[in-house]
Amino acid sequence: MSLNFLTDPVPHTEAVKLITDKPAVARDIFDQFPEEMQARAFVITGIEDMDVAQAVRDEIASLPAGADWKKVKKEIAAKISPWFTPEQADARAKLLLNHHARAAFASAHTRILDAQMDTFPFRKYRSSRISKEPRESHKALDGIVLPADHPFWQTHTPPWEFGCHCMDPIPLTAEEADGERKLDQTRPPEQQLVLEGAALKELESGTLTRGMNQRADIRTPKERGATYQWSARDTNLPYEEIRKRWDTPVAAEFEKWADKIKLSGGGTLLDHLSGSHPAVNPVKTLGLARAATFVEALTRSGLAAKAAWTRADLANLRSHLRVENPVQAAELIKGITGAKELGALVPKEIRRTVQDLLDILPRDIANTLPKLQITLAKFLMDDHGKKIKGVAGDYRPEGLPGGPRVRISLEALKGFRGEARRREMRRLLSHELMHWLHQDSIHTKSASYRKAISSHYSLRTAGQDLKTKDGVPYREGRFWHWYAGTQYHDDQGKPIGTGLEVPSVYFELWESPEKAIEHSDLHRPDSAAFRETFALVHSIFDSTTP
Amino acid sequence: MKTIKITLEKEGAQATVTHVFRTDDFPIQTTWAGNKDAFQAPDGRVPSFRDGVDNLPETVAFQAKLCGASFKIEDLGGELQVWHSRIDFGQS
Repeated sequence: MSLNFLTDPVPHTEAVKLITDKPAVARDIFDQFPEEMQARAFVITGIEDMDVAQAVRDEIASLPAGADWKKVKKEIAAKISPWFTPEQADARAKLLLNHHARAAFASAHTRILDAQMDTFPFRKYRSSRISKEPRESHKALDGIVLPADHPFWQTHTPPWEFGCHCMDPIPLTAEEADGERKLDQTRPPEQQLVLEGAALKELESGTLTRGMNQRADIRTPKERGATYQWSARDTNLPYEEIRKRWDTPVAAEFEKWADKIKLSGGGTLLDHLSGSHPAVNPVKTLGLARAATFVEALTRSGLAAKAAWTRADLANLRSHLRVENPVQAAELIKGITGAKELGALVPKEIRRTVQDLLDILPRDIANTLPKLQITLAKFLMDDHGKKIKGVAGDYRPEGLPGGPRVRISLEALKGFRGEARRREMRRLLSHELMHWLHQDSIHTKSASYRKAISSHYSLRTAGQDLKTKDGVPYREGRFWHWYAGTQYHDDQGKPIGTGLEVPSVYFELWESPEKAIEHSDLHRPDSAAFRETFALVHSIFDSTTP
Repeated sequence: MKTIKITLEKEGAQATVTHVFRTDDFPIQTTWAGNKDAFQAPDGRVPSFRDGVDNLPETVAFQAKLCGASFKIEDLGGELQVWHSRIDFGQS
């Protein structure tokens, strides 16, 4: 019997991303940020060399990727040493590492706690157990219990002040909170932990009494007149959500300014804030080489043997496939039209979605792809100018008039709002981009890939009759969605290819990870079939050199 | 939106799982009511009972068997949105 143990560190990719998403900026730029954006930037007061600031930021990001705390601190101190004395550099390295890494972990943790609020409707505050000189206000909060949806957690989830060492709040069930309430009956009023009534009102007004002459000022730095404000929840919000809080002229002015500021490492400040910047590779920061095959990436990330995958697992899996020097989206996009209809930042998001695919595609395959036109149109029209009903997106291959091109129908996105709409746009786009890769790459490996997909479809659907659903002919084939079994026909009713929808229907799952998680779960009757097709579809990303 | 309700029963314990679908491929919202914990599979996890509309009966049957429960599926009605992506070969 063979046992599979995970011996490599598993990167906390969400925390890594929260850190690397912070643009490294100079102090004067930082000071021009709107208050609610300052916690999203990375600044080292006293250092104007942005290459150094960015290198320090990426060094900090290597901590949640699995690197050693002491080693990272030493590296940071070495990088900033020309600007400080050795003692100052050491202290500053510790402060930067503590603050940014802890904030990233706390944000990721808060997202999980918020998602579990129905099960854990209360939270308990925990002050630091290691800090030598904890602030009185933070110490006073130790052990207090409040409803998980109380506004207190919006402003006081640690680290809520610079240098705060308090720990992540403990989630409590309603029964556990009741237990604390019972214990409170044995405690003097000023020592009770479940804050209700007068004690809660006092907390909401900014102070907390914990004994004779022990009245702590628990207002946030901003409430005390400073500008710095950090919120674990706000950090998880996409930039699009934050900008909704501003008036349109304010947002436009800020974005005009932010789009002019070029950052070290590529892209503008606006690219970083809107998530359109080149992402770092946590696997690279661990010094691991890219997995040679998708199957190797599955094994390395522990997913081959794992019964229930998670979102973090999928992000980790993808990070094992990142290529060293990917082809840039700008080299392969002929043009983008109609995207601004959906929002000013949508063209950037489209480029980012194309780049996401190229980031895991070996260069020599990417270099065989033809340049692509991407259009977002109110309705999709056929070549005779007639509106096509029920088609959310389409891909016209190379060699046909106007091809290769991707079109997305804005009408199909109507039922979605905000982030859900952008996510649906990315899902449709990913689907069509996979057609581009599957159909129109002329690398020698792509020909054998097409053959493998076609054989897989034939094997899965052998002996099955053609059915029709919503006007689309298909065979079942035990695919996660019936549409993967689509059989195309020409005008004369002759079949065109086999399995042409299989890669796209599986690749789009990166934009709907909850579906991939569900279908790969060993609690399902078809999980083995799902995993088999999922792996085959992604074999196009295998290295082309041994 | 289409709503499908699954009622689960096991040794006197009861729970319902209500799925809301926008399109046929996956529920956009799933709500549990009742004693969810009673429906743990042997590995301690509670199956999700989620799938696309077409495969839901097969998946629910499999997952209910896994946790030793009996079940009933009711379609509470509603319309699904029908949108597809396609390869445009240029034919009419």
